[in-house]
Amino acid sequence: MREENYLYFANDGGSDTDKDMAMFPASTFRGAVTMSSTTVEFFFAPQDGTGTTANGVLLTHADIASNATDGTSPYADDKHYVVMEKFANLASGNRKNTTNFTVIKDLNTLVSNEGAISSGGISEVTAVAITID
Amino acid sequence: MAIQMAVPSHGGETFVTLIKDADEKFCGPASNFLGLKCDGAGSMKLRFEDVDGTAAATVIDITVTDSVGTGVEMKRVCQAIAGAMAGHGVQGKFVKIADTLAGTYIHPDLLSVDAVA
Repeated sequence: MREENYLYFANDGGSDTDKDMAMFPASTFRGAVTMSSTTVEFFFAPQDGTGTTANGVLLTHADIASNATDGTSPYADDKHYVVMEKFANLASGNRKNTTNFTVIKDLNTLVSNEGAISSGGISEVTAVAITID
Repeated sequence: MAIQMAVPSHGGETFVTLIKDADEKFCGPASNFLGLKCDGAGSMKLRFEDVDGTAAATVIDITVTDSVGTGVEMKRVCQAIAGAMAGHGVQGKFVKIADTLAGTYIHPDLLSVDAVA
């Protein structure tokens, strides 16, 4: 069995209500799709075991248009690309010098000096919405 | 002459166990872990591929500490579970995540196993 990497997502709700937080094995990642100029959704194999309707984590970031260096080209500083690239780096199972618990995004107030527990994840992400049927 | 290699179904696998009571227990390979989610304040659901081969999941409800209001206890338990799933070298390959019957847990913020279904 290859080493698994577990990806942690949490909104700012303090893990007090259903789907405030979720953790997926990286191997269940199916892909990511841009949903708007400010959102990217990351899809995973469903936790209900049916293998059909994917679970999704919608990440919100700054509008791509507002980040264009010349005001016209959204690719100049494309937050879609940045978020996807950072996710890929974090989710990669080839990071031998890290633990297998990886915070993709945690919007809650963080404690200090506890390694991965203190990690907020991808800085460009401003909101997290988790869909698990 | 071809040589038939003996390949164990879960070679090198880590097995994890969660126990609610004498009648409700789960043991399965970590590779069957489908994920987990917050199910409410201090409540989490872990899901594994169903052991009977049906297209569903084995669902395990656990209770964790929820005193700070930032979800950090749940995050710590998630990290401990991730570590337990790795298993190799440190924890061994048969890891008991929680045993409500014996009162033993891999993390102090993991308080109980409430259901195995």
